[in-house]
Amino acid sequence: MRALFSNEQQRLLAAIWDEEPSVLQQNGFDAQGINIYQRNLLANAQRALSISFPTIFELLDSDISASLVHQFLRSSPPSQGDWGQWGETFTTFLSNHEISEDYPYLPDCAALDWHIHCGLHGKDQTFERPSLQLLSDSEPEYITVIFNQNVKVISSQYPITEILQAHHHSDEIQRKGAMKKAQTALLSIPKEHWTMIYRPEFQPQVTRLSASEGNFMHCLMSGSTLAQALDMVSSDHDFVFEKWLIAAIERNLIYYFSKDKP
Amino acid sequence: MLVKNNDVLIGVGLRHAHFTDILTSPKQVDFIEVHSENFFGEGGAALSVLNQVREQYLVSLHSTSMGLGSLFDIPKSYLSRLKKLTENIDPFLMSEHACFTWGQQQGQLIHSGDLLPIAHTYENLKVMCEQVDKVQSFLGRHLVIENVSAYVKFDESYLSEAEFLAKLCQHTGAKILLDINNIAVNSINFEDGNITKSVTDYINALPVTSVAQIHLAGCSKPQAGELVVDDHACPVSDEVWQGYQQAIKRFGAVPTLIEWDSDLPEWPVLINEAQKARDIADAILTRSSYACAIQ
Repeated sequence: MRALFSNEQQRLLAAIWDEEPSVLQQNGFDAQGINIYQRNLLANAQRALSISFPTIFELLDSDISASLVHQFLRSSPPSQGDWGQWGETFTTFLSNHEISEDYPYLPDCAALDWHIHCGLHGKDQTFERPSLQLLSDSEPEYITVIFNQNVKVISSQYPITEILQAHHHSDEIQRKGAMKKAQTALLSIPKEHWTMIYRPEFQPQVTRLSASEGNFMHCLMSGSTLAQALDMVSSDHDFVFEKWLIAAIERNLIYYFSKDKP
Repeated sequence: MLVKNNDVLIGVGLRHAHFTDILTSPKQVDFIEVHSENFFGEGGAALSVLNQVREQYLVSLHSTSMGLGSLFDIPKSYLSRLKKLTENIDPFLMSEHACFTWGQQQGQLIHSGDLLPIAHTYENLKVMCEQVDKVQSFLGRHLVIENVSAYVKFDESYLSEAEFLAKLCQHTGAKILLDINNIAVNSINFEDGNITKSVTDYINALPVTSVAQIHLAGCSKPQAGELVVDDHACPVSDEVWQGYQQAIKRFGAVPTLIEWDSDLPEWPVLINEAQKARDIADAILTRSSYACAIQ
């Protein structure tokens, strides 16, 4: 910073951010003008979060979401100059917020929203097919799987895939079906739900995974070798590696197979 | 309808809602302008669209977050992303605003999320010259810097914005992006609202060779007694069109852009606005050529 702290730029920022009438008076700015900047700030923040976290904004009444945006703006002001990147800590913010006592699935829904949002702008990666040869040439003990960076696997106690689809599926019947499933799951004894985000081309997709698929992928994504991941699901009769591999390639989950640990 | 050689380049701001239109409609404008920050991602559909647009159109990258007038340095991470985009798109113009965006709250660097005005002083001129020099050197390109609309003003200012920008360009080699609607907004908000006079004074205070781009936009009418908010939600106003005529007379065939950011119209409406700009510029430039020819 080039000048003393109490320069006119800091005075203006303080007037906009502090929202205290006394700060406004001290700083000598026109209240109407400051009010426009405050409204713009809140509107930009609201727009940004509603784009990055569409499910959260569907789940909450507009006055509640507006209040959350306001609180989040105060606790995590933007720092990167790109509203699209603002919101990385929104999931943690929700976890620590009292609203999660009433709606405990909100943080996981937010995490899912955020991964989809990041997937939209993530690097374009397609499977490096020649690396498939490693499966024939090497033992699974020496093979690791490098996933497409837009692939994420989330484990949750809540039916977040169904909650998302209940609000965003393009087909109304599917939406209603997902809503029913989500409601049923929320009323049942909690169990682990695995959700995967992936990007076959440009549009991120979301799907439920079986427990064995979820554990297998999570193990690989944590850097374990193929052998270690296969060991983990060796007693799961519903898991067949060859079947998983074909689907993984079709869905553009794998970037390449590697002989070295990442 | 495409431009003939030496005619003014006419463009429109491209927003997400018009992605399909731009890729499927016949070419009716000469260039497209996008907000740089919307394409900072490493991949995905938006960047793919921009790359396809670039194959057909000249592209201008208009940044909104750099805050060239900030007393704090622009973060390197921001500039690196802008540079990567610039190298990918190879824009024919790169622009930013004469404003500040970076500051501190409770000891933490924050981004204001808005284009905040600066006091027009020699101290701030020096700061902004340093920032512009740094950015131009980092990007390896000259910038075009836009006058901003404002809702507060600083008692500290003793230069007019036009004087400030003219000196900035003189010292840095940057050029000016003249936003005529922003002059109109400030005229209503801080002067007597005589837009014609404000625009004339502003234009006459700028050197003839200093303007490299013109922005035209419209904004919603305020309630009585309220400040005008530059929301880019309406067609260009008559006063701004008149100001555009003056600008073309003074600065010549300067690339001109129609900006429309909220309450977006259908694509043909936007194109009609662009065509109106082309007709006005063509008429002025043809008359000027004719006047030169008969002298």
